[in-house]
Amino acid sequence: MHAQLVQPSSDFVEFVVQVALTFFTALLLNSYWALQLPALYGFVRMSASQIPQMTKGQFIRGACIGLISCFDSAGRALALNSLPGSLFVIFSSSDMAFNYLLSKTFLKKQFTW
Amino acid sequence: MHPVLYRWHLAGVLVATSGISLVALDNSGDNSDCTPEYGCLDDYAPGIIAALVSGLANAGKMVMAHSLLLGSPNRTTVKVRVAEISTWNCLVPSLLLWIPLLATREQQQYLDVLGPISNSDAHTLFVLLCVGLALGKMVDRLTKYGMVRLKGALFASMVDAIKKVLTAIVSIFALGETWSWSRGVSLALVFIAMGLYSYGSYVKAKASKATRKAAKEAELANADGPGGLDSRDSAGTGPIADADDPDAVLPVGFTPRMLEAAVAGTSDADWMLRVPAQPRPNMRSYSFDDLSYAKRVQDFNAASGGGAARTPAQHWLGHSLSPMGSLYGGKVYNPKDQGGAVSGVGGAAAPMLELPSLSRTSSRGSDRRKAPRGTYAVESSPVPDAGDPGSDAEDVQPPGPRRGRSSPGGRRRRRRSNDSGAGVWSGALSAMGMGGDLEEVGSSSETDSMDSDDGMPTRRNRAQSGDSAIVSPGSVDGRPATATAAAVGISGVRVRGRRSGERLEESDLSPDVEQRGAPPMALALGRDFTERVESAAAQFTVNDSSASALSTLTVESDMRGSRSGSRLR
Repeated sequence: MHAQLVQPSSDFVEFVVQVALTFFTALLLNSYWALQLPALYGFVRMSASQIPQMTKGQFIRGACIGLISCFDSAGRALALNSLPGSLFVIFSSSDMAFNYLLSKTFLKKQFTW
Repeated sequence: MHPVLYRWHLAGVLVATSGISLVALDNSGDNSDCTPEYGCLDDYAPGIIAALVSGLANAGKMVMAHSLLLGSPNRTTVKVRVAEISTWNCLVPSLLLWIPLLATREQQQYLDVLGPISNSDAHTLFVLLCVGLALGKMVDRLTKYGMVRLKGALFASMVDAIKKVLTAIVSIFALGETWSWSRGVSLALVFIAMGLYSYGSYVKAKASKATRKAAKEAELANADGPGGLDSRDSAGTGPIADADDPDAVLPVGFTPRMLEAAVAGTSDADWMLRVPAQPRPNMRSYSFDDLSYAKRVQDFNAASGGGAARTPAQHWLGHSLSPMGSLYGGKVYNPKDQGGAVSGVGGAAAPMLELPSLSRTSSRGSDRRKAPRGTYAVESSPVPDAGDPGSDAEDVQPPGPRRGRSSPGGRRRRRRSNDSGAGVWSGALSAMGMGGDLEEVGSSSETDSMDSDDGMPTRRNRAQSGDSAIVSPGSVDGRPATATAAAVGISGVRVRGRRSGERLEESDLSPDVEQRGAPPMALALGRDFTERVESAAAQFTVNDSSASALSTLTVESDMRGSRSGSRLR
């Protein structure tokens, strides 16, 4: 199996992880923008007076969220296709531990024993 | 926040993490059931790594979304931000994931998975699956970030874990996945973690509520606390509880420590009786209109010996007035804050001034509505003055139209006054036929006698302080006016301010004043005393450090004007 890791990348998903349509699944998971974007536009236009203009920092943070979501979606699709459902659920629940660490690091939230 | 409040959150995280570790360490069941389809547990390593990377990315995404939502100013903005984050969350991957998809030529697998295009049912099912997946994912993310908005990123992760656990249960029991004890235990641990976290949130919210309630009670207690009028009054007249008795009822605003200090006679005891520097908005009002306060003050003075062998007037006006009166000393009066010390000429209508202790009129009554904004003037009384006839007053009146004079017996409409309080003195003294020269005031050695206040607020002060407390007795014009009015009122000089030179009617007389009408002031105390009063008042007015130069000049101007407008009838 490890010998197959040197295979060309196009065959990596199929032969190593034995997953089909991984990125396609991830792409589908994020294809709802076609529905949400018009709804968001309408909502923003309807209550434009109450919504402040998006700042540059907010724009960067939103873009970072989207970029991180790429890794999230890809990794999720990869794990979902390569792991049994129950195992995937259990390991993907590790985000709670990461969330704790990141919240304490960046948001300075107090989590003390 | 107390550390114990977060232990449930951390316990939930640790329990969930231990469940994950438990599954990772347990490979007994899967190794025995290695299948060609899924392989063995060792073959899950890439998937496990991918799941962990996904978990890390998901956590980072939610924490960043949390930080983005924290800066939203209002609810509408938060809703929009949630929608924006969800849109960012799908739009960018939809653009970028095409790169690995095309790089891996994954699109070529499409037909291999779904079969030939002739099998339209499979393709239709796939399209419907994609649409449902997209809609479900949209709802999932909107609710997730809504949860981040409401409860934070970590709680949203915990709630998300429920969804995953339900998915696992469906996978195990509906899709026939391999079951192992470690999976079952880990799923149970995730549920327990959720319970721990939710209980931690409940404890935290409960403690926060209790903290807010305690803070509010402490704030209310401080509002009536040391230095407040209630405590001062209680200290002077109320029962003193035993400091060692926990069941003893302390006066309002007193704490056991304060009581101990009072009993011990330390400086704290002094401090707790003092008036606060500024009135607090929520300070409880105190009415001086009842006679009981004056009686209590007199009793207090009598008990302390300060008021012994004094006439009533001396009692109010004497040097250092009383131990109670000394408590109010040092209050600086700002005429601008009191609204109207910068006055007009003396002919303006004078406001009503009524000695609280001599009045039975409620402060919330009609007289209260007429509470003036200006300063005070004490006018001559219609009661025949037994003192010097009014020739003196007439002498000092300048020629010209006599403003504010109407037909005899006619009722005048009361006007708000910008009259200076200095006119009080000339009017009062003119009423007694003792129109003193203001240039002479201040030279008396008795001027210091007015440095202390009797603590009796004028009606104006009470009205302008929002009925909050007696905290502005040090009025430039109000304080001496009050004191003099208390003294002069005994002799029948009407204490209520009125337009200078205005004729008073008997019906305007306070019943108290009428009852106490005799003997006249000039006879009772003598001219010398009146001059001392005038001197003290003028000295106070001139020397008051809080008054601006403008108001001082105006006061002096008004003194002359009001004096000239006074009449002795």
